[in-house]
Amino acid sequence: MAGPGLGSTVRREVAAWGRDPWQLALVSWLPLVLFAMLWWIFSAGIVTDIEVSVVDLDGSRLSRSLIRALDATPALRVAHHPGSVLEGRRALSNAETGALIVIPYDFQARVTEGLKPEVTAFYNGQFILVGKAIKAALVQAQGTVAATVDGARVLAKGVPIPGAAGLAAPLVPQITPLHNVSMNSALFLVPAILPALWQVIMIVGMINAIGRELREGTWNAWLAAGPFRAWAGKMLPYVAAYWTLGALTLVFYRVLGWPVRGSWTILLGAMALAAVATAVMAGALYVAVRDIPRALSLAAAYTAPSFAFLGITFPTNNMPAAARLWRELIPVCHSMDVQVLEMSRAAPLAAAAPHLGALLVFLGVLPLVLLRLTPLPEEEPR
Amino acid sequence: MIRFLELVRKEARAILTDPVIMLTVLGGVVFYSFLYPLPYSGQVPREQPVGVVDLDGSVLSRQLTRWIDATPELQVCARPGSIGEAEALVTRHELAGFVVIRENFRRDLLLGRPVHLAVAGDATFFLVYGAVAEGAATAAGTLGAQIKVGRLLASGQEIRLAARRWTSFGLNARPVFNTTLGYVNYVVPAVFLLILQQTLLIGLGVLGGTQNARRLRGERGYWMDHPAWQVLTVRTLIFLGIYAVLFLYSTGFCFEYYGVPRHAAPGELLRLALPFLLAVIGLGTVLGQLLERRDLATQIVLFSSLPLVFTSGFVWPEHLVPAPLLALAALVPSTPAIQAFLRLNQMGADFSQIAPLWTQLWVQAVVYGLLAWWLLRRNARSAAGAVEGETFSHSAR
Repeated sequence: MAGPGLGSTVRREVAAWGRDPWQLALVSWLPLVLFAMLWWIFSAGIVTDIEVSVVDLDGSRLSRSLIRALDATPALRVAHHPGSVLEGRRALSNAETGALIVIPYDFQARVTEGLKPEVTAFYNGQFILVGKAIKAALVQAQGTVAATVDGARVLAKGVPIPGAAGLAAPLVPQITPLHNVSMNSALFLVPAILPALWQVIMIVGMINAIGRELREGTWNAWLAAGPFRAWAGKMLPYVAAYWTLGALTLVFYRVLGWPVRGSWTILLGAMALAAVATAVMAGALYVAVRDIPRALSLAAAYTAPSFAFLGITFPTNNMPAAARLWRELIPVCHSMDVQVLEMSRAAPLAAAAPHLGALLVFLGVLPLVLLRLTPLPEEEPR
Repeated sequence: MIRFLELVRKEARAILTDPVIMLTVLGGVVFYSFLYPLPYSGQVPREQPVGVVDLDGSVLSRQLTRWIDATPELQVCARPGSIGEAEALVTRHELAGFVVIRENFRRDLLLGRPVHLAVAGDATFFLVYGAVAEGAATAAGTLGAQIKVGRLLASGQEIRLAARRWTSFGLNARPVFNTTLGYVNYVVPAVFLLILQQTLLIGLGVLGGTQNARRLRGERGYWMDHPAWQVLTVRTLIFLGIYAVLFLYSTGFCFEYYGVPRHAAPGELLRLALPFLLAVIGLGTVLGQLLERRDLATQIVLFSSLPLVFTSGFVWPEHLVPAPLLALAALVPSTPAIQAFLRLNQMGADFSQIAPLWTQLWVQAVVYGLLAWWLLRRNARSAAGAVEGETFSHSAR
């Protein structure tokens, strides 16, 4: 085929970065700033010091020890002692406190008599992540205090010590978190948010690059290389830049002490394939409308909700079929599956292979894109 | 007056005939209202696959297995022969977790020795991990209670008393506001407000960017032939009209459709929506006046979405977000709007409680409104100056 080769198309694209500061930002500092910002939001790591209020209607030694146990959990801080339940409820409604704990009248007396009184706790379920942390801390504090009381009571009856603990709680589940030992929320959220953002930045950067040709009236000159070489030469610098960016996030996780336990090769391979798949989809969206603003509207509809579909916050196996289908169409969802398998656990290649294969399927769209990369009869800058 | 109506007609046409603005504003709000809640429509994780490593093989271990299977959270899908095998299944993402029932489980329970039940959950996914922990705790609690009641009965206690006494005091921890801890209820209210803001910002940014691009090419447009305050007023009223309808669609129809609780009266919500929409319109007009191309608004707004979601306080507690980021987020209308809206509509706060946030929105509306007016005027004047300069150079030639 006549016309410029792949190498000169690549050089032509990289040279354009010098004239287009926005395009340069999209492949350099802008994603880094956004990534750093998102990490910084979650830099505290775990949910701590949620303010809760306690209405202590008993005012006994036992109720005070329960309050101390609540305050001693890392997640909670007993910060308010409202005079009434109604007052406590108002603070809960205004999100000033995360929970309202009510210790009933005669709490200690009823415990002593073995009447099993109940402590009621209302926690804010609207903020689920925080709510779950509050619930876990409540259960922990109750368990601590109840075990002390039960153990003391059984001992008083003269049962030998090992049996005493057994009588207090016959079957104790001990849960071990696998693959995220510290139960760190940042470790759970950040490695999912960054790929979602990565997906959006990639497709936007690539659509800008393709659309620039029509905007600047250089469409035909670009296509002189032939559709495949024009597309490949233009996309190669972006695939390389965004792949590097993806690799940087892995280095970043490592620096933060979240090691990559599995295979770097598989992970980096998945990222390269996701970048290529995105290059195909960016081309498809652009050639469908041949206008940057309209292609960007489509890209926004397509990739902006990626985070919801990744399956990290809400499990994929509970998504309805339509959501799982949409998920299949987003490249980063597949590289995320590989990331889950390889980052915190060392899954074998066989486990990652179906997801890598799914990314290759996107190449099937490429011929349609190339068919629409045709020179215009007359060209005017627009 | 005729000139003013002319302005209304031209402004409305510029907005309604721009495919990008319409695609974003109408298409975006409606499309996202279906797409965004789609993955979460199951509300809570159910029937997560777990394995039971039964090294005891007794009546009690089989009973525990059945109880685990009976919880809504869990489903026993595998009976791996060893812990290593179970771990491998979790690693391959085939199981969400597993329970190990060790040897002599039944004997130790009957002898009254403390028995620890080893449970492992995949903590890569918090909801899944929570489901495993909750399901295992429920099943263990049920079996434990049964054993303890049995023991107390054996020691000669009355059954009602025995059932009550298996622990010294109980905890009744109840989630309020979102009582089922449903994910749709969690995500939809906040995200829908953000969608309204983002699409509105893009619409105004595209409109402004397009007009700037034309001005920079030396074209004259209707928006330069009228005083800036009139252009701003007309633009505000048109977008306010469109978004009043979209606000009602999102927080009325969609909430009803998804079964999201609505505690606030519609009048109160509209009272909150007014400064919110005005502030967004002001900010969007400012954005439009600063952009010199019609395609930039979509990109900038798109990149801001995730940082705005996570600094608005409903996912990650505000007091844990670094102060400089909170200060930045406080400049954007969605931040106080989401906080006020959730308190008012999801958590049943009364209007006086959210007054500070409402005031913050009004301050934003006034400041961004004035800034928008100033920029519109400046840009129109600079264009007028350029045109005069051109005429001058033409006549000089």
